[in-house]
Amino acid sequence: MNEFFKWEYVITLFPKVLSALPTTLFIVLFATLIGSFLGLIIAYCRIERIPIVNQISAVYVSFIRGTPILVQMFIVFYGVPSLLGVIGIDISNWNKLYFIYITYGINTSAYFSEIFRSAISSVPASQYEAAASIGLTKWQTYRRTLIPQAGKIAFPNLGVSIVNLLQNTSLAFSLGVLDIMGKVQTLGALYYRVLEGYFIAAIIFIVLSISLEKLFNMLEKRMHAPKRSRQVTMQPLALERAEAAMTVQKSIK
Amino acid sequence: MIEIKDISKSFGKNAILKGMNVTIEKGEVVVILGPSGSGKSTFLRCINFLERADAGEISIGQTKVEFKKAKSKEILAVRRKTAMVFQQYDLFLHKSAIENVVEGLIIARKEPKEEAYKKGLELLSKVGLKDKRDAYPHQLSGGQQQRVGIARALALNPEVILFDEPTSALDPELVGETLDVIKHVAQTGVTMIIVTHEMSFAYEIADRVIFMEDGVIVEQGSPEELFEQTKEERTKQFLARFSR
Amino acid sequence: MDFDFAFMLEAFLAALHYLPTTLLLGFLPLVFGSALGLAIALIRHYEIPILAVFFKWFVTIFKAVPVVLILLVSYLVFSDVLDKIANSLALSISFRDIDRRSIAIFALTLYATSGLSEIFRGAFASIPKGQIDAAYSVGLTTLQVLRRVMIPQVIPLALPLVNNMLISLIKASSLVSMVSVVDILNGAVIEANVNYRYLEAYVAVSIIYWGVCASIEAVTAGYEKYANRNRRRQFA
Repeated sequence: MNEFFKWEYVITLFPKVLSALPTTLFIVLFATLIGSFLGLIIAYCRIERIPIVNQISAVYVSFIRGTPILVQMFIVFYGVPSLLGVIGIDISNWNKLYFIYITYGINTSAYFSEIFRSAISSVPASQYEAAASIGLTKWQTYRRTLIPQAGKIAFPNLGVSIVNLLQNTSLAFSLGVLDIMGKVQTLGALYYRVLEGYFIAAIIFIVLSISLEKLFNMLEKRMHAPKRSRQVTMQPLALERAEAAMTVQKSIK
Repeated sequence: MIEIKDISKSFGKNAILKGMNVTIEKGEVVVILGPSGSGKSTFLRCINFLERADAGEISIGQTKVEFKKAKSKEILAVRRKTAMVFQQYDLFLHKSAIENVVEGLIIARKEPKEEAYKKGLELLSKVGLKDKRDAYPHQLSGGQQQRVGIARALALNPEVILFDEPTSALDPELVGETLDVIKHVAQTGVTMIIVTHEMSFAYEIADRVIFMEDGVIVEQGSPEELFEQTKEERTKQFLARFSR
Repeated sequence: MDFDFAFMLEAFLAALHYLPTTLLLGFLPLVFGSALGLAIALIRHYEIPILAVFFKWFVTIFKAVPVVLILLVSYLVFSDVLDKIANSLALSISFRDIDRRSIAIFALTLYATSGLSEIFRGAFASIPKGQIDAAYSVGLTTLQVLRRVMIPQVIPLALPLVNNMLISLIKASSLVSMVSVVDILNGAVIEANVNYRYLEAYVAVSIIYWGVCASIEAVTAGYEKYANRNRRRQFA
C-alpha cells in the first residue's frame, strides 16, 4: 500500500463493486414500497384525527425523524428478534437484509407520511365538499379526488426523499450487508485498496442520484403537461362553458 | 435638460428600441403612449440602467454617458439623478413606509439620519400618508403603496422621475388617488417621464405627448396636437381604441 | 422480553457525557457551512465566471455523495497526506496528534456547505426582482443592495431550512464512530461492550438524539409562528 491512489485498481474493482448494485436498488425499492403503504395509512390517521392512533403516529413520526437511521437500524436489529421471541417466533437465522428492509421501510414511511399529509391538506377543502356533495363515500373521495390532486403536489418531495433514501442505504454495510458500500469494505480488506473503492462508490452514487433526480423531473413535467385525450372526451356542454369562460377572460383583459 | 440620443436595445433577436431621440426640458412633463410591447417600459428602464441599452447616449445635467460603455461609477451617477416609480410599486417589503422613503437618502446619498427622516415625513404627508409612516407594505393598499413609491422617488430630489405605468396594477377605485398625487407633484415643477394608459390623465398633465410603436417615435406634440389634430394614421388607430 | 431498564439508564448517562461532542459536531459545521454556503450562493447568484461553474459542480457532487463516504475519504486523505506534507515541510505535527473530531468537522462541513448553499441560492432567487430594481433605482450600489435589501430578506426565508440542516447534521454526526470519534452513540455502545446489552444502549442514545432534534424542531416551529404573527414581509 505504498501508493495512495491507483487507477488500475479502479478498473479492477469497478465490476466487482457494481455487482452489488442490485442489492442497493432493492433496498431502495422495498423501502419505497413499505414507506408508501405505511406512510399513506399514517397520513390518513393523522388527517382524520383518529383518536389515539393519531397521537401514536405523531410520536412515531417525530421519533423516526429525530433519530439517526444508523441507530434505528440497530434498534431493529436487536429489538425485533427479542420482540418476536416473546410470541415464540425465532428469527435468529433471518437474512440481515430483512432487517435492512424493515429499517429503511419504517424510516421512509415517516418522511412519506409527512409529505402525503401536507399534500393532502393543501388540496382545497372545497374539493372535499364537492366530492361529498355528489355523494361519494370517504374512500371514493380520497381515491378519486384527494389522492390524484395531492399526488401532483407530493411528487417532487417524494423524489427528493427517495434520493435521500438512496444515499442513506450507504449505511447498511454497518450490519454487514453486501450492498455497494459493503462490497467496497470487503474488497478493501481483500486488496488493501480502500480509496479506490470509495472512489468507485462515489461515482456510482453520483450517477444514481443525478439520474434519479432527472427521472423525477421528467415525470413531473409529464404529469403537468396538458392531457390531450381529456380534451377530446370533453362533453359538448362543458366545451360551451369553457368557451364562454374564455371569452369572458378575454374581455377582462 | 435631459438628452437621449439614438438609444437602441434588443433582447436576443428582438429589437425593442430602434434608435430613439428624446430631449426633455427642465420641468417638462412628458407622457409616452403606445401599445404594449412598443418599448415604452424598456425605454424607461434603459434610462435608469436597469437594462443596459446596446447603443446611444444620455446626458443629464453635467453627466454624459454612452449606454454601452458606462462604468459602474457613471451608472451610479445617472441613477442618482433619476428616480423611478414602478408598476408593481416594488417597495422594500422588509421596511416600513418611512424606511422605504429614506433608504436612498441615508444609504446612497449619505444624508444624516435625522434630516432624512424629517424630509421623509414631509414627503409622506405630501402624498397624504403621514399617519402610515410605520406601516409595512403588506399593511397598505395598492394605492397607498404606490404613493409611498412616489414619495421614495421624490425624496431623492432627482432631475427626472420615471413613472412606469404607475396605475396599471391598481384596482380601478384606487387609480384616482394615485393620479391626483402625481398631478400634484407635476405642479411643483418636477421633470417627469410617464408611461401610462390613462388617456384623460395624459391629456390633463402632459406638456408633451409621445406616441411610440415598435421601438420608434411615431408622433409627438402637445396634448391638443396629438389628441385633437392627430396626423399619423397609426396614432389615430391607437387612440380610437380608447375613445369609447 | 428481556429489557434491562437499569442498564439503559446507565448507558443513557454514559452517552450524555459525550453530548457536547455531538453538539459540537452539529453546530460547528453549521456555522462554517453557512458562511461558505452563503459565499457559494452569492458567487452562483452573480454568475461570477469560472468560480460559478466550479461551485456548481462542487455542489452537485457533494449533494450526490453519501455523508459516510465524505467522512471516510476525509479520514483516509488526512491520515495519509497529512504526515507526508508535515514531513516534507519539516513540521512537527503528525496525524496521531490531531483531534479526530476536526476531521469529522471538516467532512460534515463539506456536507453542510453544499446543502446550505442551495438553501441560500433558493432564497436569493425568491426575492422579487422588482425589489432589486427599486434598490438600484434609488442609487444603491451592488454591495448596498446586497446588504440592505437582499440579505435581510434572505435570512428569515432561509432560517427554518437552516434549522433543518442542523437536525441533519446532528443525525449525521452519529457516523463519526467510523473515524473513531467518541460521540453519544459511541459512548453508549462502549458501555454495552461489557455486557452485550446493545438494544438498551441504542434505545438510550436514540432518546438523546430525539430530545435534541425535537428541541431544535420546536424552536423552528416557534420561530415560524412568531414570523407569521409579526409578518413584516409579504412575498406575493
